[in-house]
Amino acid sequence: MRLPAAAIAAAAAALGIAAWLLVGTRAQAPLEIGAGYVLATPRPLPAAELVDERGEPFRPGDFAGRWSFLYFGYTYCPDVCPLTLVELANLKKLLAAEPLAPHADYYLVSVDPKRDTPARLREYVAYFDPEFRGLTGSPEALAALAQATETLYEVPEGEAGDNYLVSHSSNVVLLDPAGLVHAVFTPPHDPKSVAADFTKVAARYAERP
Amino acid sequence: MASPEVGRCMTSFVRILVALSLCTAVAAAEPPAVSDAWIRATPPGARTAAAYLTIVSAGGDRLVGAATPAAGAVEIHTHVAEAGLQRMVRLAELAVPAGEAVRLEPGGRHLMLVDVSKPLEAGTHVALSLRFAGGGVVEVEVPVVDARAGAPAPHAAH
Repeated sequence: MRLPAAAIAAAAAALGIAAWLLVGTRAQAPLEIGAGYVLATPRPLPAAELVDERGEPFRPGDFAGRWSFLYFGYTYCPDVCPLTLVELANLKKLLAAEPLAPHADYYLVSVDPKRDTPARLREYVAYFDPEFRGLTGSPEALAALAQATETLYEVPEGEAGDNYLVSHSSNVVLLDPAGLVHAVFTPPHDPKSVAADFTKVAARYAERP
Repeated sequence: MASPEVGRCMTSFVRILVALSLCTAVAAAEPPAVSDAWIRATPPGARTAAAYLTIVSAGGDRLVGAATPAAGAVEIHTHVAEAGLQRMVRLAELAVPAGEAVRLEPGGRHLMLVDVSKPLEAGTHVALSLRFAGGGVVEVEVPVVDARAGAPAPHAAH
């Protein structure tokens, strides 16, 4: 028995549409954002033992449950770190006034644990916002966290004194409520544009299947 | 007795000396103008701070050093973006081309105050002395600004 050509064509078209719909819902193209990028596939963080600004142990699993903005820097940084933390504080104020934006936490991750003790981090981040958090850890833990978040940094080795410069990416990393690396915001960080992008990213996340 | 080569050398050397002293005379007569200076108020416990300003020199000059009683040392810094890494680099000097406004601004070139002995509080002033290659020394009383409320905008937009 032979099917009429029209029926075969119709079946093929239906299959094609079904395949397109399936692919379309499974792998939605990542959102385009103003300055930075959304990861095509959100990436898990490695197991790493960190310490927070109160001196309490902190593990990457502790990020889960809410959105988190992470900035990697150090407190001896005179220019770009205070600049970015002011931008993040302004971002937090903008988002607080935006009813559609979900709650987020903000962390300065110090890549300079030699000078940045939890106590030092605590007084430093609180200057920018009383709710800002601080994290640091062993060089190995920080290296693992940095790698997963596409962050680069360089602490000079064998520095005896306290006067040395640390190089670092000035990106702001966004973790989603599953605790996965979701997006990276590149400088300059205009708080208005980051707020708009974050609201968009969070809305898309809420719609996921 | 000096050979002709040494003689020629000496002549060039003298010419350079004369040229240098002329430069010095011109620059000393007209030191660069420094404006829009401010220092970022320091978060508690900070041992470093950043100063920002604009330098204009009619004849061209070079910033070769800076000092303040508020810090152990002042370094000239710039950021260099290298494959995603923001590298803060110390400069030996900063060129100030003739007639061009050289701006030191947040997120770019700045003066880094190292070993700040006590917190720099908004509303106070810090004496900053800028030394130029041309021999000029410019003394500025720099206001300390709390940049959490926004950095001061330079007079001319760019």
